[in-house]
Amino acid sequence: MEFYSDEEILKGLSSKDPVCIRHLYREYFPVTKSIVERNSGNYEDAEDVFQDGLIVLYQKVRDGKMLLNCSLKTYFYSICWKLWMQRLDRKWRLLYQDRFVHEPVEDYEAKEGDPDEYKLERTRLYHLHFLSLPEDCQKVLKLFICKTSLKNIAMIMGFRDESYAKTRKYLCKNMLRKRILKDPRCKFLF
Amino acid sequence: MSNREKMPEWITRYNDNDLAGDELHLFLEMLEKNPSLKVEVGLDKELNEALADDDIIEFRRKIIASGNPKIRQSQLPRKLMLVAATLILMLIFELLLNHLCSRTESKGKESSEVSRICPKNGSGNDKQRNGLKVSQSLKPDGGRLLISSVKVPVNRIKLASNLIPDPQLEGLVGSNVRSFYFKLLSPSGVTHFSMKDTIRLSWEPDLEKPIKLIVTDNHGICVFETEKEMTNRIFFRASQFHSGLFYFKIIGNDDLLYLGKFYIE
Repeated sequence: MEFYSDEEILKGLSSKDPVCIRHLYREYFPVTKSIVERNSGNYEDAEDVFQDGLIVLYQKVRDGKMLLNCSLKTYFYSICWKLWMQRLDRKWRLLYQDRFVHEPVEDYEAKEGDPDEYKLERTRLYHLHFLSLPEDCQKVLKLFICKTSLKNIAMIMGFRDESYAKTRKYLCKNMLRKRILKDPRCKFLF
Repeated sequence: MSNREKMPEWITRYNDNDLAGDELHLFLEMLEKNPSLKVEVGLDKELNEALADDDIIEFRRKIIASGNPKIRQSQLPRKLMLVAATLILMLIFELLLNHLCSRTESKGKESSEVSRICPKNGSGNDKQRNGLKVSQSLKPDGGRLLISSVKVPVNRIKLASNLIPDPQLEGLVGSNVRSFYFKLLSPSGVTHFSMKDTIRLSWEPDLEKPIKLIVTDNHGICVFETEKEMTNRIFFRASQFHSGLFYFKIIGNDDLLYLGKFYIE
């Protein structure tokens, strides 16, 4: 098995290197899994937390906010721990809000600077459904979000005119909205 | 197009600041009254924000692509373990079955000797049941013969070995031995009876000598015995046996007159 130093991992992460991501999955996922499964979660929860943890790590590396004063594994562990504790806290609140006064999970209270797990969860859901759309729909939506003009979109996508490009945009956005709202996870998010 | 049908378009246009005039006025009125519309507007806004970060979407795509084989890998050993566990269970079951079969066969061998003495001792141990004498089989127990009920042990009932023919008796089935005059009328041939049936054996001619009927199972264990005088038929109920293959011997003056077989299902 290949060994990567923390610096190499961070470098690979910033360039979205698939080898680095696979290495992280192999080496770091068991840690996340143990946190989640030891604290009322299941395998799927662990996968979600791991993905969100990687996104947080990537954002920190990309934005230059990474201050590493311990091993990367420990740092990643703390991100996943915080994410899972916040998520558990929110789930408990959702489940028992009317039954008894909420007590924070294992004395965990979110602090300033902690990752916003609620936003991360919603974003993950949006991304997953976006990536499940047909390729041309993804492309049209990306172009619209990047404020590309209708004329250019029609030209890039090979549509007959601007009005058809507009219709396609609405259709694709609507398909995405419907898929998200149909997702059973969505009811805990809005 | 109704306002309801226009809604997805209006939501997008509202978030893009593209809605104006009467349309904007109407939309704001509806937004105030309808909380679910508020949720949808919020969702659309968040979607725009989430999809704007192309870099993160690309990273997410790579995580999913890298993660899936890992997940498959982690699930593969589980599947392999399940298959292995199934195979082990099947092996254990087969060993258990073989063990039970061999036990039954060895019991059968022990009991075949018993069945030979069964008719002789049967008269002393007979019980009267439905007008017929029902024998009691004998079991060896530490060198001492114990008298037990005619009922066949439960563990034998469930075994397919109850249907395995006895090679020694099979050759004699249907043949008249030392009795060319004897003709079995019923059952004709090898018959399958159900538990509800009454088994009727009839023959001709009427025999003046006492007739002994011995029914053994396919392992040679005597399960039924009766003796009648001056008769040409014997009835007995199938329900007193377990399902399987049985041989019946009609004996007159210690001579085997006829050997037949039947199945009980």
